[in-house]
Amino acid sequence: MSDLKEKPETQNGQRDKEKGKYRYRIEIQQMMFVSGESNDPPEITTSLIEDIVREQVIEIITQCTKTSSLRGVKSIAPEDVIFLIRHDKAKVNRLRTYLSWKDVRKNARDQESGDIGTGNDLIDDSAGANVAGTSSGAIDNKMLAKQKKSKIRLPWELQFMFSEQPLDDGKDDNNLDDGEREAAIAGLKRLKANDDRTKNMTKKEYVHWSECRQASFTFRKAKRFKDWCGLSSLVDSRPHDDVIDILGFLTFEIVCSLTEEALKVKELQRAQLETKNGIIQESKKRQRHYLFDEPEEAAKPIQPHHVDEAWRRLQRGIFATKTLGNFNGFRSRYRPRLI
Amino acid sequence: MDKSLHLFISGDEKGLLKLTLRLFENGFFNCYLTNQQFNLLSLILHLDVSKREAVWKSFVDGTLSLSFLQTAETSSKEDTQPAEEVKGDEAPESSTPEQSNQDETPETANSGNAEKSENGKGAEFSQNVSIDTELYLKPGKKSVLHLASTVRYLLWEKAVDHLYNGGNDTDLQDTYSLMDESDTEATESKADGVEPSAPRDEEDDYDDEEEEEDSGKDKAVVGETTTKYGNSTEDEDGVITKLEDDKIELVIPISLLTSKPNLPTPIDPASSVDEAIGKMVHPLLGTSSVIESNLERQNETKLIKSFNKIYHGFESDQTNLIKRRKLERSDKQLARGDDLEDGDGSQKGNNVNKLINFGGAANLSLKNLLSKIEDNRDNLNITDIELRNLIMDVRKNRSKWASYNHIGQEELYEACEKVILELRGYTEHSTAFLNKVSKRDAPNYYQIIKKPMDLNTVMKKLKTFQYKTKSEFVDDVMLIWKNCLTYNSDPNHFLRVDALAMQKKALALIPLIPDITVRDRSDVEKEEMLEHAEDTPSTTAVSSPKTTRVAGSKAPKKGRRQGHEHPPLIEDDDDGDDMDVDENPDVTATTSNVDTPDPSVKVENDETPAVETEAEKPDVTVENITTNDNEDDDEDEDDQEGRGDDDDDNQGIEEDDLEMQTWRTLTANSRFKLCSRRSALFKGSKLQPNEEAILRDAQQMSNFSNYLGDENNLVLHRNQYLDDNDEPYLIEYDIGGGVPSIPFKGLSEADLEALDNEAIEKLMRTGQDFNSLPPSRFTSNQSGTTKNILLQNIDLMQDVRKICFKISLIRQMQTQQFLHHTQMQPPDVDRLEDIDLDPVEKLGTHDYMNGEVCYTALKRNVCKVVMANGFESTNEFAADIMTQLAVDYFASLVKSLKMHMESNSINKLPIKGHTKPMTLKQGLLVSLLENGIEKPDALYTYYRENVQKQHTKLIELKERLSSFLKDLLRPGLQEFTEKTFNESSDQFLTGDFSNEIGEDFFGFKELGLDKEFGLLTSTIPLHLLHSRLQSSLNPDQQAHKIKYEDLEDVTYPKLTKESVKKQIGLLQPLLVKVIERSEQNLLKVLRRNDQPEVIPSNNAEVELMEDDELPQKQRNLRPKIPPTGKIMGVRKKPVATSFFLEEDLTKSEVVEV
Repeated sequence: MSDLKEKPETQNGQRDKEKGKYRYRIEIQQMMFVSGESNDPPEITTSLIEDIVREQVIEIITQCTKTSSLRGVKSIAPEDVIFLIRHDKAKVNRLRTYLSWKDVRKNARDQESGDIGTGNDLIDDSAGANVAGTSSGAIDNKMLAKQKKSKIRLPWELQFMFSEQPLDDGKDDNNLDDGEREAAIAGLKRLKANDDRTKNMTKKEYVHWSECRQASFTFRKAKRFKDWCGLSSLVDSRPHDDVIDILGFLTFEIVCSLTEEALKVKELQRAQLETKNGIIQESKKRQRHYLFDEPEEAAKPIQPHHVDEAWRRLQRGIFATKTLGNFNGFRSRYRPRLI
Repeated sequence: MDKSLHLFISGDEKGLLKLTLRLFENGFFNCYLTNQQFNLLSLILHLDVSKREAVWKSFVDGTLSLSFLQTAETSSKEDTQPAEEVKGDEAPESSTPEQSNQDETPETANSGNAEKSENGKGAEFSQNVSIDTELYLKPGKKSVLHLASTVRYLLWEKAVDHLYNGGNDTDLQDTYSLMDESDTEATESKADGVEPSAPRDEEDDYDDEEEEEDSGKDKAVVGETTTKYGNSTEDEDGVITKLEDDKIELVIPISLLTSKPNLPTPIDPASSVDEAIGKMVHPLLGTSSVIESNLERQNETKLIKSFNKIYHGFESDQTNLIKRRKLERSDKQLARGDDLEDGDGSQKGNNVNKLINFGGAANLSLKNLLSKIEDNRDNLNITDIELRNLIMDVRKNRSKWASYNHIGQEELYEACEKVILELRGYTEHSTAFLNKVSKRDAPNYYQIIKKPMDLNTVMKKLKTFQYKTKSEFVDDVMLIWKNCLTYNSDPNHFLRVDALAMQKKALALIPLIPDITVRDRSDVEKEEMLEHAEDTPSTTAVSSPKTTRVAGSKAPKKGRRQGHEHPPLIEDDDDGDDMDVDENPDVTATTSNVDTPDPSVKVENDETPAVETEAEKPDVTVENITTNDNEDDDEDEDDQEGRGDDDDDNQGIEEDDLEMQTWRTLTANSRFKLCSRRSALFKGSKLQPNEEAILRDAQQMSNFSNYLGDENNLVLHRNQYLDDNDEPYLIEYDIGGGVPSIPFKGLSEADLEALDNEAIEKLMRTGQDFNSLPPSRFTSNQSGTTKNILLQNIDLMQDVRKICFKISLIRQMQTQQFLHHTQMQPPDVDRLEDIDLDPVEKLGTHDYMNGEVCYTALKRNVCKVVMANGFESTNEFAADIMTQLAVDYFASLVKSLKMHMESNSINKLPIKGHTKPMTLKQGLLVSLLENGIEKPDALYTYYRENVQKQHTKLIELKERLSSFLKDLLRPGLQEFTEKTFNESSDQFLTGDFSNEIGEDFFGFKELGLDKEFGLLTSTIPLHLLHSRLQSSLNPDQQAHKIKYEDLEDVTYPKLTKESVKKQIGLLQPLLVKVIERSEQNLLKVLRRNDQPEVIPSNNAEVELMEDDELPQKQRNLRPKIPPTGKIMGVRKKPVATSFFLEEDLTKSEVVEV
């Protein structure tokens, strides 16, 4: 935040690799746009968000390193990352779907030699919608996806508690997991929200929006990402490609949730201010517009203090970890909560 | 002992008389009787010997009646009159002499001329009670009767004590030796046994303080005195005994009764200790009887010690409580008034606080210390200056009265305040005088009383520094009582009694106030310059031992400490008399200034002159006044007699009782406290949970037992006798301390065992089995359908593990040639057994809330949770740690809940916006949140999300795994052809094809073989399985197995006739037939070949013909039943292919095979 004068021009990252600390302004703006912020957020906001995201990424990587070293493995496996977010079942499910689609894309590329179709779309919830538009073999892809999805096995699942696993005969997939159901419901909600958002868009806008949806920290810029979060200094061995992809997914999620929360905060503050100043005044103000009026309230983008508040809200309420220290005295350790 | 008690049994009055005399001289009665009673007794005992016995007899029998003579002047006139009147008890009321009434206008009555007022007429005398004298003994029998019974009681009690102590007590022994010897040695003992006491004339004009001094020196003076009861004998003329119809009547000049009694010095050796204590002791005694002589104090001490001999009822508690409450209320009023005045004072710019505090200290609080110092003055080798400095050090606390500019203010006001507080605290009588008389209560009060006064007003005046001298203060105080007496002129009015009592109290206290005039500093300094020279002599005066006066001694010290600036005060301490003389003119002066129309004030002031002249003329008036002065303390207690007058006679007699009086007065405050505390507990006639409970402690209990114990063990000591607040210990009010301690001392191991054994024996007697008892509370409900889902999960996991083991074993078998049999051992998985953790509880001798058992139960549950989360077993140590963590967690949960419930936080109070304070529910939620449970349904969510889901998953997993195992064990059905059926038919023998692969692998159980081969049922005979799996999974080993194709090449030797006999018997006939056929065929062949048709004799050469070898015609072509076993209806052979048997051959050739 200190060096605001530096303009991170992320378009040509190579040039300001040394120069700029902030390299994802555009991506963050796009992500924020996707998650509901219609104005262009100021640079200061995006920088703040970027800082937060980087902190989160570093936290994730350190914790993953810890778990992987506990397992006795040097490099981080995708399971390690998923382990960190295992309690958010919906997110885990989305992530699994995402990963399976990634595999699909990869296979498709192998088979059809680069004819990727909608492969660029990394966003899970739109995956289904876009798949429908794929040229051929949508049904095959779906089946393939399912197989892939079940391939990712999470070692903390119940069946891995035992020495032998039953053969996966693919028979009993009909009973959907609760987590999956949750994910499905959440996905439907998201779809609905996106639908609402895009309902009134012009074609051009919609194109822009769907372009924005493809924003990612990692897609096709894995190297920049690694540099950005200082991966080499955090981890000894090179992590799995999937890990980077997962991180890309997670960073997108972080930005989205931050933005959504910040929007809520902004709305709340506006409401408070309104009740304070009186609604009458507000309505009077709207009747006439003058040239040098302030821009309307709604037109104001998310400010850093909104983000700060959103961050605070997302960090709050970690009682469970401190419980055993009650009455006994304990050292409180700060560890950012993963968003 | 019996002998000594004989006296009491017989009730011999002569013996009693002697004993009484003896005890009287020993001072035994000193403390038990009121002064007037004492005088009466003394009179009776010292009558002429001739009269005495008769009088005594009637006295003891209770037939003695009493009447009173007026004064010496009027006695002659009234000699006969009262005697007549007194015969009837009611007489006084009916016949009130006119003459006395005329004499006694209110003025005269109030003027204190006792010679006029005391007419010896009961009705009159209460009216005539003046400030100085009150005769509460009533003429007639009752008072005497009461006295007689008291004396009897005392004597008897003495005897009982003696008996009880077994004669060990030397004092009593002495007395009792007297008692024993009474017949013979009565007179002698009187001569040598008793030391004569100090002469005390009624005319004694010593004032109170002097008496105190005297009593301090009692022992020294004892030797000097020779005459005893001089006055009594002198006055004996006045005592007239009348014998009339068996009744003896005693006519006594009142003056004798009201005079100061001459208390004989007790010869009790122990008294010196008591005396010492009594002198320095506690504020209680000190305050209630400030100017007591040592002797009196001793008496009081004695009385206190005998408190425990009497059980005191609670009947006076209510009035006591009410009075005390009034006082408290008044205190509050006063405090409010103070606040207001303080505000005023600051406005006025009162400079008291601004100035440097100087000089004063709490004199009264140091009284005891100072007197002690004075007593031991000779032993101290320090100069006055040193002493002064020392005392200065002690007196560090400056009082609020201190003022630099006003010299003497602190001392005066300090003392005055104490007096006021003391008076206010005398709730027995003070209630009426606390506040101003309201017009509502007495509409005409302010018409009669021109200058109203009350205690609170005095206090206010004191606080606003309105008094300059002691006399001003005293005037105001005395005015209160006078007003009361003036207004309530009715002699029966109850307030008069209170007023008189307060007056006496006040008189007793007033001499304690140093006679200081508050003066401005500047004036004093000027004087000091002038009188500097006088300083030295006065200092020496102080050091002289003569000036051992408690109250007076403070003034000089202070005076000197103030440097040389206040010589006039130093002069004060020369003699107590001087001080009083100084004081009294002041009083007179001020009263005249005040211009009260009330002449009683003058009477009061007359006191001093009277005292001075008293020595010369033994006037009754003077006597009365002085006795009053001297008797203050005793009369404090006696005052209640006045109240008794209003009530019935019983009450009056009760109030006669000195012991009772003392007890009531001394304990009033502490009783009030106890009662109010107790009543607070039961307010609203239900138990108040928020009040402080009445608890007992060890000290209280030991006090109680001490109290019940021997009298002699009871020491008047702060810790034993008085409680922490220097209040007397009241056994009657100690409701907790007397409860005996719980005899339970805890149980030893042996006791417990004995209890257990007893319980078991009882069980056996009733024929029950230990196991038949219902289980203890520490068994989880595990049986049947209600089994805990957690435990079900654990069971499922164990099942799954078993299956997993089988699968892995099969895998191993497939890969390895040889398996050691240990590898085939399934893991020992113990089903969770619910062991009764606390089986002893069944006996009923143990409490289930036992820390150890509870811990174990928690540990078990923790282990279950651990198992349900996938661990096969838990290390003991780890389990312990986890349990402790669980304990910690629950403890902090409960702690935080407790904190929320008990906290005084404002969050619990209703706040603005929030109408309700924090409820219990909210408290619970918050404490849950603080302990990591964000929602109260977290546990349910956990149960639903984790446990139940786990359950279904486990069931599913188990199914899938077992089907997997089945698949492994069962040969693949898809390749199951007829061929494999033929080849590996042994599989069917081993039972592998059975659908259920489980425990009953071979169906032994169903066949009932499990009982025969016990081993087989529990585990699969794995070696069987092993070999089979080996063969099935390693096909190359199977190669040499005989196949159908192989059999085609095999040529079997033909059967010969010879070998037929070796065949199975069943086949013999068939084969014989075949042989016949073969022989015929052979013959045919031979015939055809033109060989001789001889069947070879050698049987071996005769071969049996196979059907195939038969000529076409002879073959049996009957269709066979197809492999399906199904006969497809009636077959019709097509005609073309059918053939017909030849007629001749059909019978011979068709062989049924």
